[in-house]
This record gives sequence, C-alpha cells and structure tokens, in this order.
Amino acid sequence: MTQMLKKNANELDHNFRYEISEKVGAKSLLKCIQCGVCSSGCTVTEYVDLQPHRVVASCLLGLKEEVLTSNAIWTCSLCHRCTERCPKNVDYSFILALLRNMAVKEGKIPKEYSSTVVTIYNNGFVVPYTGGLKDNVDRRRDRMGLPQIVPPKLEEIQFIIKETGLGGLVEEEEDK
Amino acid sequence: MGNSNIMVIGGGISGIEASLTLAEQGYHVILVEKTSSVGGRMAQLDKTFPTLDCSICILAPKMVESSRHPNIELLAYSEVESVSGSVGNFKVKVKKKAKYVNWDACTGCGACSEKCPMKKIPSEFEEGMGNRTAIYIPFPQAVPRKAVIDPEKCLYLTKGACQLCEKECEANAINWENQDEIVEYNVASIIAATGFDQLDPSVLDRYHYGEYPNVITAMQYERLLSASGPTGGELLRPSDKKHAHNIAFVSCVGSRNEDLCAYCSKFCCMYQTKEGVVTREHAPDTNVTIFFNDTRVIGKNQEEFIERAKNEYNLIYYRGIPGDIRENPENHNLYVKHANLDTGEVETSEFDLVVLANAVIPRKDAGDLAKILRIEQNEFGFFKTEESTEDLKSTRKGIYVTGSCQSPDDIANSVAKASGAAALAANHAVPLTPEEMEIELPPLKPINTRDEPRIGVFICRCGINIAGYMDVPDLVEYAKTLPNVVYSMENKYSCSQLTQDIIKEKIEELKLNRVVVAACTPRTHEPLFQKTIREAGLNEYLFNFVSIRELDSWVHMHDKPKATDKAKDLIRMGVARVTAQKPEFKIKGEVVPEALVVGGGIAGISAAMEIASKGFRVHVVEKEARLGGQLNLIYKINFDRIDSKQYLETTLNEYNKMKNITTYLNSEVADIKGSIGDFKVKLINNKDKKTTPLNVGVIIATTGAYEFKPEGWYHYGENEKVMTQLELSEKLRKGELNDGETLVFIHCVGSRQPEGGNGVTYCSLICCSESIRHALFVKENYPKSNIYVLYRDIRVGTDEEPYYWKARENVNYIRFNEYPEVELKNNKLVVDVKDILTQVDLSIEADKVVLSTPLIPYDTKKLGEQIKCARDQNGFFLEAHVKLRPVDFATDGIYLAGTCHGPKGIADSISQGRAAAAHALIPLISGEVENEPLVSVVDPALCIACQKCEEVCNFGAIGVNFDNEILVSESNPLLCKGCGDCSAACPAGAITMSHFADNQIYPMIKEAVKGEFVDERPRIIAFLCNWCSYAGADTCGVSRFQYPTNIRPIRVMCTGRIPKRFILQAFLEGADGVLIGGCHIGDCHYLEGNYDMLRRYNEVHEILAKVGINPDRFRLEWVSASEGKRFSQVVTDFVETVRKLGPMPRTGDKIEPKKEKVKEVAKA
Repeated sequence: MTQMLKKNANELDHNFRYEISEKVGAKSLLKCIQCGVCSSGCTVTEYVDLQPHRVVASCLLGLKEEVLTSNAIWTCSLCHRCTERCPKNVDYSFILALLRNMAVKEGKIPKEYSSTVVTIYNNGFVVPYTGGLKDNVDRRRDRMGLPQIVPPKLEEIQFIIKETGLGGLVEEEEDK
Repeated sequence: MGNSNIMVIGGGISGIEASLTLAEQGYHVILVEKTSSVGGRMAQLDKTFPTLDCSICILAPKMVESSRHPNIELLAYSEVESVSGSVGNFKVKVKKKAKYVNWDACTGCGACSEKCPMKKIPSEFEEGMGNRTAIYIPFPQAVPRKAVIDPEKCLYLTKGACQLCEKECEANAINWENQDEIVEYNVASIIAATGFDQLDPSVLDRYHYGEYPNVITAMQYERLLSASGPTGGELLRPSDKKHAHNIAFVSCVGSRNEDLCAYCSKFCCMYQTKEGVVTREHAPDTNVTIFFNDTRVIGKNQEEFIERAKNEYNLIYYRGIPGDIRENPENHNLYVKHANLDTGEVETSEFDLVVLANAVIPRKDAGDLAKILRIEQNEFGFFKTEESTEDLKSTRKGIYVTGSCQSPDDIANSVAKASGAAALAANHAVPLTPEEMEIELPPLKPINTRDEPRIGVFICRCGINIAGYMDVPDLVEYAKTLPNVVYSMENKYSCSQLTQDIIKEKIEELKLNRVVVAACTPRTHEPLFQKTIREAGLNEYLFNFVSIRELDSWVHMHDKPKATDKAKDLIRMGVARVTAQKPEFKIKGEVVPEALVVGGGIAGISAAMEIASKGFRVHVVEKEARLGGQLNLIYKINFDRIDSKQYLETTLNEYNKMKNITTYLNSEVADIKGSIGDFKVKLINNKDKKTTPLNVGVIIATTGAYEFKPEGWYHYGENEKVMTQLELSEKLRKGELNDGETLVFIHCVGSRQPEGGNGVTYCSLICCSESIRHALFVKENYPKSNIYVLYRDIRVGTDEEPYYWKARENVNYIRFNEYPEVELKNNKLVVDVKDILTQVDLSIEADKVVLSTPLIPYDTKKLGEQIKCARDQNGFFLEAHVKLRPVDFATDGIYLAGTCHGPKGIADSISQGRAAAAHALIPLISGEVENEPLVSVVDPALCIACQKCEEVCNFGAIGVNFDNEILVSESNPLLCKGCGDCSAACPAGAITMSHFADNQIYPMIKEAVKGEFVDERPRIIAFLCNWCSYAGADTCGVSRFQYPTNIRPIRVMCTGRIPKRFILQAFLEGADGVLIGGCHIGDCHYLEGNYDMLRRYNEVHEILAKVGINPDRFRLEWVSASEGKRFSQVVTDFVETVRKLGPMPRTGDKIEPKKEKVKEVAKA
C-alpha cells in the first residue's frame, strides 16, 4: 500500500464540508455513509487519482487542498451514474461541479482548461476559426449549401468571461 | 367466567413459540396461519447461524408439537378477516380458505400431486427455484401434512377438465364443493407474529436481478444449499446447472437506502457469513467473497463466527458495496465492479454466481392487518411499539407483536420476544382449569409383565403407497405366524378413524395387551396410535410402530419381493420388541409456587413483575443496595432519550405496588440444592451476614453485566481526560463539558480482540449506538465542539440507522483498520489514526478521549456452580439452545435473561426477562412437572459409583449423591431427557433406559439378522437417532430416493444411547455390517450425545481390528433431517463396501475368536 498522507488535525478545514453543503443543491454531501457504490459504478475510475467515495470522504474531513488540486474533479464525465445509484441520494455530480467552481476561484485549474479559456477569450472559439481551417470549412459548407458560420461577438464573450471570474484566469495565463 | 382464549396470528417460529409457551401454561391458543403449513421462513432455511444447526431438524419437532398440542387449535390455510370488541373480549372472524381437500380424510400421502398434470407451477417454498403442482403439499416436512388445491392453477377448477387427483385419491378426500368458511372466535388477547417479506431486487436495475440468470437472492441460495431443495443440496447455478465455484455475496441490496428501505435489515450480514461457511464446507474448492459496508453482528458468539469465517473458512470480505454487475453473455459469468474501501481503489472481479442480500420489508399485507387490528405501523411499515424500551406492546391494549413483523430479527431474538409477548398476552386471560384440560379416559387394564403377550398387528396399505410396492396380504399371513401374535389384519389407511375403532374393538374382543402398527413413520403417527390404545385401556407404551413406508415401500419401489421380505423382517423385529415392552408412566412432581430471581436489574425486575402479576410469590435478590442495575448509571436511554432515572422510578413504582414480591438488597445466593419444583435456597445478606432460607419452584438468573474499565488502554486511569462512554454520560448529566472542545471517540476498545489480549473476543453490540447517541447529544448541547469518531464497523439496530446518518452529518467519522495510538505528553493528548476512507494518517490533539468498551458479565461462576449451569468462554451463561431456547438453561426449572446471557440493549433485556418469566410460569401454573417416562433408572445393587454417567449427562440429571451413606448414582427422572447416554456409558450395566432398554433392543438386533426368506447378503443393521438420521431416512422416503434393501434400521433416541455392546452383539449375531446415523456434530438434540458416540465409535474400531473383524464393516455417519438424498447415498455406498468384503460367518456359527489375536491383546 502506498504511504499514507500525514496530516495534523489543525491543518484540516472543518468548515469545508459546510462551505460546500450550504450551496444550493449540495446539502446531500453530508449524507454520505461511505458505502462505495458511487466508486464502483464510476465510468472513469481508471483515470482519476481519487475515487468518488474518497473525494466525498476528503470533503467531509476537511482536506480542502487535496480535493481542489485533485484531477478527480476535472476528469469526471458527469454521467450521473453515481448520483443515480447513491443509496443516500448524494448528488456527487453536482457537488463536483461546485468543486470545480471553487477550484477555479482559487486558481486551481489544470493548464489544459485555463489555456482553453484563453483561446475562447481571444477567439470566441475553442478551436480558432481562422486561416486554412476557415477556408477549408467555408468551402465545404458552401458546397453543401450550408450557411456561413457567423463568428460570435468577441466583446460579449470577453465581457462574460471577465464578469464570471474567469478573467483572473486569463490574466494569470497571459502573465506566464 | 374468564376468557382462556388467546389468538396468535402467523405460524412461523415466533408464532409457534408464542403458541407453545401459552399452551404449556394452560391457555387455549388459536394459531392462525395463512399458508397450509406452519414453519414460516425458518423451514426454508438450510442452516442457522452461528452454530450451523440444520434448520428444519430443530424446527420440525416444534412444528409437530404446535399441531398436536391439546391446547392449540391450529387453523392452517386461514386468515383473520375482522376484529371487533376490546381487550379481554375480542371477537375475531377467521376465514378458513377453501382447500378443496377434506383434511379429515387426507392422509398426506402425496399420490395426488404425483398424478397432477400441472407440474410447472413455481413453488413459493422453493422461491421459484423448483416447481409444485396444482394440488400440493408445500414441502416434505409440512405440518399439517395435508394437500390443498390451488384454485387458480387447477385444470378442473379453471377449465372444468381433469379431476385426476380425485381418481388417484383412495381416501376420497377431494371435495370440489369446498367453500371459504368464516368462523368467529372470542379471544382475550392477540399476538401478531406475521413475519416479513423481502424486497424484489429488480428495482435496483444495476444488479440485473431477473435479467441475468445467475444473479439470485439469498433465500433462493438457501434453497440451493438445502439437501431437500430443488438441486438436492448441489450448488448448481441456474444458467447451466453447473457447479458454481466463485460466488459473490452483495450486502445491503435495498437496505440502508433512503429511497427503498431507510433502515438496516439486521440479519443479512450474519446469514451471508453462514451461507459462505456452509458453501465452503459443502465444496471446499469454492471461493466465497462477501461485499459489505459494515459487518453487523446481532447476537452472541457471532463476532467470533465472522472471525472464524475469515480465518478458518477463508471467506474473503471486501469493504465496499458493488455498484455494477455485468454479464458475459457467452457463459453467463458475472463481472462485479466494486470499490475497495480499505485501499480506496476500484476493482473488477469475475464470478459465476452472485447472491443478493435483499432487504427485509414488512409483509405486503401488513397495512391491511394493521387496519383490522387497529394498531399503528412505524415509518418503515413494521408494527409500531410505544417507545424504544418496548418491543412487544403494540399501540393497542391487548394486542402484542413479536418477531420480524415488529422489526427484522433473527431466530433467537424472535423466540425470546415470542415468549415475552406470550407473558404479556396471558395477563388478559385465565388459564384453563385442570378439569377443563383433563380428557376422560377409561381405567388402565392391569398388565403383568409375566402375562403371556397377546399381540395384534395392523398393517397399513396406505392406499397404494405401501400396497403398491409390497404384498400386504402376504405380510398379514406372515405376521400371524410370529410368536405371541394373536391377530393380524390389513387396513386401507391405518390412520383413519375407522381403523382406530377397529383397533379398540380388537383390543377388547381378543384381549390384546400389545399392539404393533406397520405403516408410515412413528415420527408423525406414533402419538395417534398411542392415544387409540390408551382409549381402549392399554398403556401407551405397549405399542410399537414399524415403518414400512418411509423406510421400505417408498425407497424400494422397483423390487416388490425384496421390499416384502424387508417388511417381514421389520415386522418381526417390531413384534420382538413389543413383546419386551412394559407399561410406563409419566413422572410427576409437585412445584412450590414461588420463584427466585437472582439480580435486580431491568431484566430481573421485568421477570419478577410478570410472575407476580399471575399471582405467584417472587423473591428478588440484589447484591447492591438498590434495584435497577445499569439503569442507575445511564443518563438517557436510546434515541428517544428517555430519562433513565425517571424511567427506573416509574418502573419501580409499579414493582413496589406488587405485594407478592419480596426484595432482598445487599444479598447474594449462598447455597442452592434440589431440582425443578423444589429448590432449597439459602440467601445471605452481605451487610449483617444474616441468612434467609427459601423454598422455590423455579429460578431465574438475571445477574447482568457491567462496562469494562479499560486499564492499560490509551492511558485510561492515568489521566482524567480519558474516559469511558458511561463516564462521559455522567459528565453530560452534570453538564460538565465545555463548548469548543475536541473530543475523540474510539470504538471497540477491548472488544472484538480475536486474540483476547487485554479485552474480549466478542462484539458488545450496544456501544455503537451509545457513541452515536452521545455524539448527537454533545453536538446539540455544545455546538462548537469538534468530534472525531474512530470506528471499525458501525453496528446499530434496524431503526437506529437514521440516527447514525444524522450523526455523520456533523461529526468526523474516521475508519481504522489499525488501532489508533494515543500519546500523553505534558497533560496533552495526541491521537494518531490512519483513516482508510481518505487514506490520511491523522494526528489529532484532543481535549477528551472517550472509549467505547464492552459489557463484561458479572461473576457468573459461583452461581453457575450452584445451579450447575454452564457458562460460555466469555463468562456469559450458556442457554439450552442458541436459537430455540435462549432463555432456558439445559437444566429444567432454571432460566436466564438479560445481559448475563450476552450483551444486549434495554428493550431486549426486558423482552427476555418477560420470556424467562413466561417459561418459569409453565411449571408454576400447572403446579406439577411432568416428564415422559423415557428416563434412566439406576439399579443401586449394580452401581459402582464411578460417576461415568455424571460425565456424559448434559442435564445434571444423574450422578452420585455424596450426601447419602451408600455411594450410588441417583437419576432424577424429572430432569432426565431420555437420551440414554448414561446407560451406554455405564460400565456396570446398572442403568436401564426405560422404553429403550437393552432387553428391548437386543431382540431387534437378533431378529434383524435372521434373514430366513431371501438369503440376501450383506445384512446390515442401522442404528438411527430419532431426531436427525431417522428423520433423514424419512425425508429420503418422502422424496422417493431409492437405496438397496439390505439395511434393517433400529430407532434410538440418540446415538449416545448406543453402547459398544450393541455393536459387538450385532456382529456376534451375524450382521455383515453396522451403520450408525446421528446428528451432525453440534446438532445433537441432547447437546453432545453424538460426541460420546464418536468416542465409542473410535474405540469399537480398535476392538474390531483386534478380534479380526474388518473395521470397514462398521461406519458412523452424520445425516441431518433434510439430507434425504445423502441418506440414500450413505446406505448405497456402505452396502457396496460391505458387499465387497463378503459375508460374515453365518448366524449360529458364531464368530471363531482368533485365539492367537486374543492372546496377543491379553498380553499387551
């Protein structure tokens, strides 16, 4: 067995469980009895560092840092199997979404995600719609009689990103 | 005029137990059962945990008793329609459903279902794993053994064609005109014991029950394991009928689930372990994996059982409930994906059979019955009781609940609760007077043993069940030629009323003084004929039953001449035996109408009050200065937070009002002498040393238990910040906690220590609830405190689960596999624990460390020796039977209740106290004790006072009395259970076993090997114990499993009865082989008789080798009542073995002792 992480109880964030549960729709976090059904039905078990039941246990114990920096919260495919099967109706999928938000707020977001945000911020597209790609696509759409793609209004997108707090991420990313 | 009637609804083990307790006390019981047989769930089980008793073997005698008891009116295939009136005078309308079979005529032979063309109806009893017919008897051991017609499936009743059963039934029992019938009863009180249903697991679609053939329920698995089940006990999986080698058990299927069953089903963890262990015993090459969250043990010795399952039987326990099962469509194997909570990882394993522990749910019609009875149901649908300390009183006066209809419960608890409910129900009724119970019988004809025996032999044709497979007229003619037989005849059905009248007539007319009936089996029909001859003025014990159906016609269906010859032998053996039989009389003793209760805790108080309320004097001895035991130390009881002090005060108020209770405080028992009915007791007051002599009829031990003080654990005793849960409760009472502190609760301190060590091996059962209660209380009253609960498994009762859930919301639950460490430095406590849930090694600075420690029994040794009652390895008193007699000691007249029996909560202690009272009331009410005359009798002239008998007796019934001048053994006929072990053990031949005496068995041995008809060899004598192997032979017959005709069975009550001389005599007479069949080790009806047989078997083996007889000619086999198939296999195999060895020297030639060998032995 791998070496266990050593922790002192005063390093735990005892408020973490309430920080999550007080959010609308997340009260169910507190109901977990650690049976393991969520993990054993999970579709991405092979790819996560913390299995779902462990994420919940860690939230309850106050291991905030460990939870927010885990890849588990980002790897989830949001298939909702865990939520559907949980005997205690813990809405794990929803809680994960909240955890993602919290992680982002604290700037704990995997590079892949933040660079995607920068791309959207700069282009209005996840995949930049310019140059050879644009020519290619436009030609084919034309051939099939499809209308041209109208680029989104970049200022609007940038406004939304700034307003929702993703702006910090962008600046951070640009600083690097 | 008082009302003596009490109604019991439900004929499962709980209903049977309640009925028998009441009937024995002298109340008239109306037992209403919905199906056509009593037995309930327990009849379906293969084994019971933790002792692995064969379930039907221990249940069947109770089933038979419930149908035969003169004070029980059994209404099978009936339902309660309506109830009006009130306590003391309920008017109950019962619907007797149309059976389409006249039960008075039906003999239960089963010929009808053999012919019924509707062969593919899924059997309810087999959980759909096997089939039944439209006219059917639900299972081989059914009581009453009568057929019913399923009107929805019967071809005639649905389509108007067929009627084959009617043609087949020679008893003319089919009645197509049969209609539902409503009967009204007036009863004083009602006990509901309607049991439970199980959740259909197909609602949890992730397990694909009903879709994948190899996903089955635990009850279906029980039927697979059962020797009388659809596969004959072979572990064949449904998809391809091949042996399963890799089996997974999934816990909590629907239980502990917010949407389905928001409670714990309580007994699944234990039956899974049992099924796993039985599987490994059946087929050691099978892998068993159990997926669980918390293993929940619910009773005595069960923690140890799980440990044994892990270590000795190598069951694999995985912490983590599977979330997904997928099937390999090619071979129907199953992939189970599961989290491993010990490592935090997820794994997938392949199995070839998956067994689901589906949740226990209230009966589907529980709501209807609740409406009829006007009682409430709790939030889960089980019948409600007023508060958590009460398990038996429903919400309506005069109606009581017991068993799993109140809350899921195992057999032992259901039985205890049933007797407790009986005690309460009896408070509203008056027992029948002796005159009302007395049946008028003619005076007995004087029989002198020197009179010439005049024997009548009645041979049953049983329709075609016997007559079809052997030549009955030939048997009749043959019987007439036997010595002392003056009359012989055949009857179409010997059990019919017509035959009873004929038997009585012939006894008068021909002055018969002994009767032999050759028919089905003595296990079901002997009492009927005994009653008949008694009505004709003959003593019941001048009768002998010869089984020629179960032991002959049904097992040799393809060889009429040989079956006929065997029947002749059996009848000849029976005639030889009955010639030596003599009248026997029931043994009676008077009962002093007073009771002694040792221990004044809540169990003792409850017991005393129940006995006193029936008008008997009770003496309660308490060694402390006050009554109440542990209740004095507890702050709040259970989750409804009953104030313990107040509760005790209210109870004691009631108690003190009872004028016929005498309390002796600061006192102990100094000495006890005597036996049931008449105990001479000396009490001593520890303060003034005064002694009080008492004379009581019964004794109840309720000596209790206390919280273990864990010296040596976690600095307990060194620092006041370390305390036990009970000490914390005192602090909570006084409000001595400060808000904002960090509390660490550590569970299982000193309990569940497999090696013992500084602690005990058992689980104390109540500590988890106590810890949760305290955590919730602290959080409510000191909201800023921070609590860590360090636990192994959380074990809470059914309805306590929601409180556990609530506690988890605001408390840090940390699960450990390695015990935490506590460091004490400069008055600072630091707890170091490895949490497997988060895989974090945590160190916590604690303000208080609270330890959950086990209950330890108070000194039971001294009292145990005084009352000659055994204790288990943990110092708790040992009950007579773990499952079926939880409040009785093996010694009659002494009972136990509460925590001296094992750790338990307050409600259970109270129920047990009442149950012990109910059993103690049986001799008190009747005023006399009666015992069957099957008892040992010592000839003082022969006794050498070697005490061998004392050694083998498990009931303290025999032994040397050192108070006498002449040292000889004395047998107490009131305590003797009739196993005969002492008689077999006696080296001086001083002990006679009445009705199974040597001079009655020897003639049978002699006749068994005569074989003057067909010179068929080998000739084998089989000694079979009444309770298991003889019953197994019966099951074999009922199931029509065939075996060779070579064996001649001799029934004894216990294998312990068989002395070495019987076996040697059999060989001396010329038997080619001797087979002994007994109960499986641990299953013995007389506790340990089969162990003594095993020892004698080994000794005889050595002797045989020395005198030149191949020891392979002698075999000992354990065959249980359900192992019919196995019985036929054992016999077939043994006959083959002996056949290969060739015949022994002929009868009359006697064995030439090999002189040289004998000399050798003598020299050695």
